[in-house]
Amino acid sequence: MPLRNLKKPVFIGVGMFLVLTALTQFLVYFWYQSARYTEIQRLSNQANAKKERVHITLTNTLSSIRTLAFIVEEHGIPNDFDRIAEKLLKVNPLVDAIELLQGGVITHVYPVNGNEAAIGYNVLSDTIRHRGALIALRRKDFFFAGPVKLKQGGIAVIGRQPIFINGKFWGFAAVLIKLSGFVKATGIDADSNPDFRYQLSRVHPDGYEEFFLPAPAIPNEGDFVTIEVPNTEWKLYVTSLNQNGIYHHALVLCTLGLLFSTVVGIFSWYTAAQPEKLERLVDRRTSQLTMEKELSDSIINSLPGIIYIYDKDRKFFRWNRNFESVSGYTSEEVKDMHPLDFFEGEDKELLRNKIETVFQKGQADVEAYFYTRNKEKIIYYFNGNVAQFDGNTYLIGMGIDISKRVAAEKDIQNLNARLQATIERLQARNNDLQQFSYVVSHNLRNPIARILGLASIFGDDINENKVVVEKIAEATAQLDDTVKDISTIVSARNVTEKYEYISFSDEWKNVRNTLKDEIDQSKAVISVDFSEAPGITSARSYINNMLYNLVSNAIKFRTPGVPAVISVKTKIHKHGICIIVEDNGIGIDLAKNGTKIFGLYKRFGPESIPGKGIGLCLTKNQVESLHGKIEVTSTPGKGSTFTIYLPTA
Amino acid sequence: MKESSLPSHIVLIDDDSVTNMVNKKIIYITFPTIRVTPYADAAIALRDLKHWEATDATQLPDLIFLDINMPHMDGWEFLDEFITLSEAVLQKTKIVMLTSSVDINDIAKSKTYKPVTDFLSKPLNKDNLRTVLQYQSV
Repeated sequence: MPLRNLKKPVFIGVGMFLVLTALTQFLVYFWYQSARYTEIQRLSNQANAKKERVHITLTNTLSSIRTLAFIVEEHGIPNDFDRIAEKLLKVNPLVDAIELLQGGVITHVYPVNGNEAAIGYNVLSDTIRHRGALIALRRKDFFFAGPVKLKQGGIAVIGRQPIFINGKFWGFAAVLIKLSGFVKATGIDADSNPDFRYQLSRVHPDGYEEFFLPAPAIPNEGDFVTIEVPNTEWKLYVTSLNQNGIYHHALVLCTLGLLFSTVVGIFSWYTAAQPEKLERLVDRRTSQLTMEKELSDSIINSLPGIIYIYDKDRKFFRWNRNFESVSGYTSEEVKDMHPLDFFEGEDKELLRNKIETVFQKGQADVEAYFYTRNKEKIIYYFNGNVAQFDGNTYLIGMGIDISKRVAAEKDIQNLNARLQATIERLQARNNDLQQFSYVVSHNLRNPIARILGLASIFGDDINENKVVVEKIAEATAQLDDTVKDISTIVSARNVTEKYEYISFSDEWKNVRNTLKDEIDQSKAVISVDFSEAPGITSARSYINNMLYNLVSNAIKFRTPGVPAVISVKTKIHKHGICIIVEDNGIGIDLAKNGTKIFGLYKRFGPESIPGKGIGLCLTKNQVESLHGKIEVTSTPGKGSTFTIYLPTA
Repeated sequence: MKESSLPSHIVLIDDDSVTNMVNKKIIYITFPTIRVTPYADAAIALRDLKHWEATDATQLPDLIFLDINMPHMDGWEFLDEFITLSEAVLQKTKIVMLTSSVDINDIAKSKTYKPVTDFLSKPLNKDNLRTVLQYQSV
């Protein structure tokens, strides 16, 4: 994989380079060829133009020698050769000299001045120079020879017209054109056109070319065009200065093409390498992500609770294995479920709100019953947090089974409630006992202190001593009574009697009999109603004593001058039954005395009413020993209502 | 003990007539010169104190022996009234609680009343009478 990754971009880069190089080089080559072709075309055109000009120039000079030849053919050698020649030269200024040859020997020349050396020269006998003359002779028409070095000096082109008289070769009429003048006239000199260069050669029969114009004779490199000039042995060469330009251009283009290919090659390699690099990066990130996902998967799967993620549409996105194993739903089923499908009853609405809270405020938690596929409910603590990823909002939730904790909490709550009740009961008992011990100590110590005091003043006075002894006896009796009372109260706290069914109406009859005198005396009106709760299984003497004490108190503390109206009834209440005794007596100021009224030796109401303050205390102790309680409501001047609650087993 | 340091007048407040009789006798046996006025009802004692306060402050007792558990007006009610009397009374008359109570709450409560200087358990005898009177005289 890495090898491939490394090779591919290099391959592309190199390939791109090669292809582009080939392409650019080909294009340059093509351009070069076409440029050359264009150049050659140009050269050819130029060459043709020049050839025409050379031809015309030569032809123009021809009229001079034709005229001379005509004169000789018609009239023989003219006497006034110089005059005719002069006229001919005037007509054609390019011609430098006119000659007349008889046979091959120059007989006349104009102008003579400077050309004297030519007279008498036999051109046909000069094997080096006679070629042009022989060609003209053979053609029987004019022919330009040369350029040649003249006998009289200088280089010139010689045009010869053979002259025939009566069909017999007579001689030649010839013109001499100096090369320099010819070159200038035809415009093939270097100065007349900066763009082109010309060369003129004479092709010898053996193929040897003799060049006449200054070097370079033929361009060493680049293209040139040659053209033969008619009626001569000449070849005209045309080349241009542009040649090197094209070549250099091509070279530059080659280099640019190579450079371009290199740049593109490198760029291609770099560009091609980018996806590879990116791919490698992606590979690395992917493997990292895969690792992270595996890690997070193993984390969420190893956590003890349930974990789930769903989006704003409440569509499940991810969850851990525990979620499936606890809920009993398969992965496929969970996908199509709504988070609220796992809740029922009031919890459903609660969860709906909590989920909304998470999406709005970012966090929420709740305790609720999670329903499994089998409709088994498990109490869970859920904690939801909002999370943003991939541009979406999700709820990440975690649930912990808190059934054990909740059960333990319930146990603790129950225990606490029981403990609290016990504490309250014990506190009440403790309070009672404190009161009791206080009263007891007071009532025991009172007579004892009195006896001790009396004993301390026992002395010589016989009369006084008699009183002292009497008082000691009184105090001792009081002490005895107190001890008996205490014994009664204390024994009331432990029920020694057997429980039996007691009919309230039967028991009331007994109490009524006992209280017969008091009722008769007070003319009290007593109504009884035991219809709702006619009886109870309890300790008979206790029930008897309760009815006795409450009714006797109601009679005792009646409002003076008002007939006592007393109601005795039984009712059913939550945990058992209650006995209610209501009167219209003097009432008790409960705000002032509170629960003291049930204390030992607590007496309320006028001194005139007899009583030790034992009755209600005993009743309270008996009620409590039967696990009940006694309550009182009272309004001074209006009456009191005592209610005894007794549990039924 | 100097005669001059002894109180000249002691008031006894106890609903039990026997107790008052015995205490009066014991005070007489121990310090025969001290005038003793017993009350069975705290309200009447209070009435007399107010009378002395208004008419003749010299009649005011130096010391009151006060019981707690009494019908009609108990010791606490008496104290609540007593502390509202004039500064002259409070300066002169000190109170010693004399009761059969052994409740520590009662002892603590009695200490919240400035005039109360001591808390005695019944019965009064020569020894604790002497102790109290010495204390009173200092």
